[in-house]
Amino acid sequence: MKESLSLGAELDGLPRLAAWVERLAPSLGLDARRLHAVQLCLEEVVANLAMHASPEHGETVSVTVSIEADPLRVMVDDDALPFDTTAMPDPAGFTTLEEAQIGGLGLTLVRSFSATQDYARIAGRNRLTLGFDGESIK
Amino acid sequence: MPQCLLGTARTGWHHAREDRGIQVDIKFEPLPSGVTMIVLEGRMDVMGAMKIDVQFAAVAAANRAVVVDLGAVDFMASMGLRTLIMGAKSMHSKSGRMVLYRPNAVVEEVLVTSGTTTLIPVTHDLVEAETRALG
Repeated sequence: MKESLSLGAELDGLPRLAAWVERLAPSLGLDARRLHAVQLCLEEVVANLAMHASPEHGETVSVTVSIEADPLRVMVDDDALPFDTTAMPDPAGFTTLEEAQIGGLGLTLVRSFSATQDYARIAGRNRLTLGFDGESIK
Repeated sequence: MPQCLLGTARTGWHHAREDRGIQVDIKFEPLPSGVTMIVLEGRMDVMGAMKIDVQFAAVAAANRAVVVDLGAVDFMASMGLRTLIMGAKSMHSKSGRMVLYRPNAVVEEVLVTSGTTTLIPVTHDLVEAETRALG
């Protein structure tokens, strides 16, 4: 099965996104651990779009989130300017509170709580595909 | 303990869950040891962190020893981590200490994976939390 939700890249859409994933969890066969991983990654990816993505056309960025089971995959499509988060280097780890720079935490979480991350530019849209079947899932 | 602290929060919390509004609550309690307890409840996602960030920062900045009770937090995203780390950073610059107390399993996994636990200690024992916060 494949389910999709379209929303604007805005922070106040995030509770609706989290609720949508939670509603789908039983039909996707998600246990609590995988539901948490999917919700966390989607929160980070869509919040990042809401805070940083620049529209390629018009004044807003639209996002479509799709989820497929077996294997569990989440696709996030957006119509912002081309941007490949998978090409970003891993953020530097923390050492001390004095030196701690806040930034890149969301990227660290997405790379830790999903098994695979793939980017493609398809028909003028960014597509990030996250896979959740694999050993590296937290 | 902090069941007693949450008594008044619960009614509002249940209401918030039903309408899927911003699902976070924050309370403060001075403990007899001199430690200030910050009790967080709900979702520390972007919207939740934005809602409590100013209050959290103000209490962290005004106290030398803070224990953050995460026992009733069921979701922690990067913006929630940012709130915790910025608060601990501001305390540290004034020789204060913050300790995180009793996160649930998924929240603790986020704390560990993100490296937050290298900056702010975590414990599931309240006496230890208070002792470490007091230094």
